[in-house]
Formats: sequence, C-alpha cells, structure tokens
Amino acid sequence: MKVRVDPEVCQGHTLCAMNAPDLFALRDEDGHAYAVDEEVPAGKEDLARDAARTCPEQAIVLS
Amino acid sequence: MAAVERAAVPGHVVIVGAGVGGLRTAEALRSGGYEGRLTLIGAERHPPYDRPPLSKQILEGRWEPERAILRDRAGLADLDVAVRLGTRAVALRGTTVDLDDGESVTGDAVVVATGLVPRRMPHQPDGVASLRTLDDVLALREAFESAESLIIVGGGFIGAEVACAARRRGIAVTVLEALGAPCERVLGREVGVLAARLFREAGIDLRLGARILRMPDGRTIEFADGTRLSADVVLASVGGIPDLTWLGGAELRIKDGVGCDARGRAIGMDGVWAVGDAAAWWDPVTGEHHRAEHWSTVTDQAKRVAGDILGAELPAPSPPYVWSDQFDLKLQVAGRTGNAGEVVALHGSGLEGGPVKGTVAGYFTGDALSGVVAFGAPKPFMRYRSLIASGAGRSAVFEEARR
Ligand SMILES: Cc1cc2nc3c(=O)[nH]c(=O)nc-3n(C[C@H](O)[C@H](O)[C@H](O)COP(=O)(O)OP(=O)(O)OC[C@H]3O[C@@H](n4cnc5c(N)ncnc54)[C@H](O)[C@@H]3O)c2cc1C
Ligand code: SF4
Repeated sequence: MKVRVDPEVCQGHTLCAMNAPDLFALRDEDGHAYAVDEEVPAGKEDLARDAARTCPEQAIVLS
Repeated sequence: MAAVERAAVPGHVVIVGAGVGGLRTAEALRSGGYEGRLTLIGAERHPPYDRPPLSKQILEGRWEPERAILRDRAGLADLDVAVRLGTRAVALRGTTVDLDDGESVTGDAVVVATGLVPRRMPHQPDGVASLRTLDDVLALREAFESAESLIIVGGGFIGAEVACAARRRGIAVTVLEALGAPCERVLGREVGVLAARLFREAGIDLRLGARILRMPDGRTIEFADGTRLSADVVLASVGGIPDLTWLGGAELRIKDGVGCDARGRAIGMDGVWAVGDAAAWWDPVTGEHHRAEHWSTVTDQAKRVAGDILGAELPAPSPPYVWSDQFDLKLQVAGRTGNAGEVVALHGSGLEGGPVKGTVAGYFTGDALSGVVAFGAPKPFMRYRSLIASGAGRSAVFEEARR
C-alpha cells in the first residue's frame, strides 16, 4: 500500500500526525503534512486507512 | 486476574443518522473486523457527506457539492452496509427502529448519530435562511448570486465563515451577536476580541451586544430600541439542537443530548449507543457530561463506539479539536478554552493590539495548560496540542513558547 498527502488539499490540521506519528510528519514552514515513507510499512495498513478517514480535508491518498 | 466478561458481538448493528458520525461508526466496525449485518438509516436523500466544507469551499463556489460526499453508493456497497437514505427514524422500541415509511428494523445494537437541527429564533418568520445541510448551502449560494446585502444573526464560527464568503462576493454584511465578542463561547472574551478585529478588518459591520426584539418579516430585524434593519438575505446562525423527539423520552436528556457514559453507551437504554453532536458523553477529565459539536470529536467517538460494540480495547481519547477558516487564516482550537481559566499570550502580539495572524493564546486551569487557540499558526499549535494531552504545567509550556 502506498500513501501520500496531497499538498494542494492538506490544510495542516495535524490530525494525521497526532493519530499516526509513524506515518506522517509536519513541515516546519506551514505545518502541512507529508508521508514519512511513501510505502506503508507492513502491518500499518489499518492505521493508514484510519488516518485517511480522520483527515477532514480528505488529503491522504492511499493506493 | 479475574476474566473480564465480554458481551457477545451483536449480529446486527443499526445506525440512525448517516452523517459523518454514522458513517465513521460503520467504517470503524468493519475495519475492526465486524462481519455481521449493518444498516445505516439517513433522513437526507444524499449519501453521507461532510459538513465543514459547506460554509467554506462549497459556499465560496470552490468545490462542487459532490466533493463533500464522504462515500458514494458504490463505496457504501463496498462496506456491505444496507443503506436507507431519505428515510427517517420515527420511534425506538428497545433496539427496534420504526421508520417513516412504515417499516421497522430490529438490531442487536443501535447507534444514535442524528446530529442537530438549526435552532430557530423566537417567532422566526418564513424566508430566513439557515445552514446545516447540503441543500441549505446550495440555496444560500444561489441567493448570493443576486443578493447585495446580508444580515447574519449569530457571530459564531459558521456565521464568521459565511460572512467571509459573502464579503468575497462583494455583498454588504452585518453580523448581529448578542454576546460581547464573536465566537465568545469557544474563545472567551479576551481572545474573542481578536476575532472581532478580523471581522472589522474584513469590512463587516459587526454589532456586539445586539438585542433583537422580533422579525417583522423574513428580511427585517427589529431591535429592542425600536430601530430596524433589512437586507436581501437574513441568515439565522444561532446554533443547533439535537432533535430527539423520535426517542420518545426513553433517553436521559443531558445538555440537550443523549446522556452517555464515557464509552458512548446511552444511559438507561440497553444496547443503545450515541455519537456526535446528538450525544452528551461523560468526560472523566472534567467530571461532567459534555456535548461537543466538533468534527474531530465525532470521528473519535465513532471509533470508540465501534470498539466498545466489538468488545475491543478502546483507543485513548484525543483532546477536543476544532478549526475554522475565517478571513484567510485558519483558527485552531484544542482542549478546553472559553471563559474559564487564565489567558496567556504564547506567540505573537495580537492580544496587545498587534497583528492577529500568528497569535497563539494558552488557557490555563491552575498550573496546567487546558486549552490553546492559534490564529494562522499551525505548527506551534500542534506542539501545544500534545502538551495539553500530556497535562503539561506552566514551566514546560513557557519553555516551548521561548523555543
Ligand atoms: C456549516 C457547518 C460547518 C462546520 N464546520 C466545522 C469546522 O470547521 N470544524 C469542526 O470541527 N466542525 C464543524 N462543523 C461541525 C461538524 O460538522 C459536526 O460536528 C458534525 O457534522 C456532526 O456529525 P454528526 O454525525 O453527529 O451529525 P450530522 O453530520 O448532523 O449528521 C446527522 C445526520 O442524521 C440525520 N438524521 C437526523 N435525525 C434523523 C432521524 N430521525 N432518522 C434518520 N436520520 C436522521 C440528519 O439528517 C443528518 O444527515 C460544522 C458544521 C456545519 C453545519
Ligand atoms: S489531517 Fe489532513 S489536512 Fe491535516 S495535516 Fe494531515 S493531511 Fe493535512
């Protein structure tokens, strides 16, 4: 499973980084999120799905 | 260690209300491994959609309505959930839900996720706009096409967002707020003053302490001093209240919502849970019931209710979080704020009259940081949010502020 944060859509609510700090980090400049690793580590798929659902902007794209 | 007795996992979960709370509960049940029957009943004809974009991207015309849909029909089918859209629950008998089409659905567990209906002003005449649903925002967007003036009754977050969207279209906006500052319930008076500056800098006629006597018609306000004000559109944005008439009084009503324990179980109703804006959960931190009206609280509660139904370990609750997009900046609120506690400026000089943007205010209860408000400062905000969760004291908070 791959994960990325759409930078156009992300509004920096930081909920993803609060809920799944292993998967998401925040940029210093604007507080917007990025995926720590494009490839979701094995066993973390549910966490990634969960994070996608707790993003109010639907900025987290799974594929 | 004594074995903890777990209730059997139900074979059929019926969720009433197909908003974000209802949908997220269904999703969390499935991702928690639930394989039984799932029914989702929603009074609106639309598939589950998200409300925050209504007063933001959709009202401004940046999003088409479809983008707010959280899961379309195909997505709901993937979830293996029987959906009854355009169908309203009219009564609850035990765990049997009676529907307005004459049918009934019986579950082993029922989740109440019916949200709010807009509060009406006393003797509100026809023709006054409100904003809670997708249909409401489409009507308002259309009214904005030709309107030159707008009166918004209520200077809360939604009122502020609508005011911004209308100003962008060049509509003259007057906001009437009964309290001494906009968003005062959330921000408190001291920080609410900053929000007031944002309104006025955007060219909005903000009238605080407004005393409305009545509305002679849907476009006119009459004040207690006898003066009148009219506009092409009047929006009542005076909050919402759960409509629980369908529960027939079986619920324990607390703070207008369904009284629940800290796991979302409805008090005195076996097999019934409640989430979201309609639910008043017991908060062990404050020692009282609290009914939140925040998106991230709803999604958090949905996860916890699904976990409780499945007898799973419950995730730790995250501190309350709410945001609002106003006046080209993001306002973020975490934890407990409002008029309780002492307000301390942590970043920026907004509280001393400097620019509002970049200002971060901390709310202290005794020594502990209980809440934080940030005006366009997401990165520091996030760090304070963690400090609230860990119950940090003043010295740790001020150290963070000096970084
Ligand atoms: C315009 C607007 C902007 C917002 N912006 C923000 C924001 O920026 N940040 C934030 O944190 N929060 C925001 N919120 C609040 C947030 O959207 C709510 O907290 C959230 O929608 C609550 O979810 P819910 O599932 O409890 O209720 P709802 O989303 O209201 O869903 C309840 C659903 O149940 C249905 N229903 C009601 N009664 C029945 C019945 N008897 N039978 C069947 N169905 C029924 C309703 O029709 C509705 O579709 C905003 C809300 C609005 C209205
Ligand atoms: S939750 Fe969504 S909007 Fe917020 S920082 Fe993460 S990706 Fe961005």
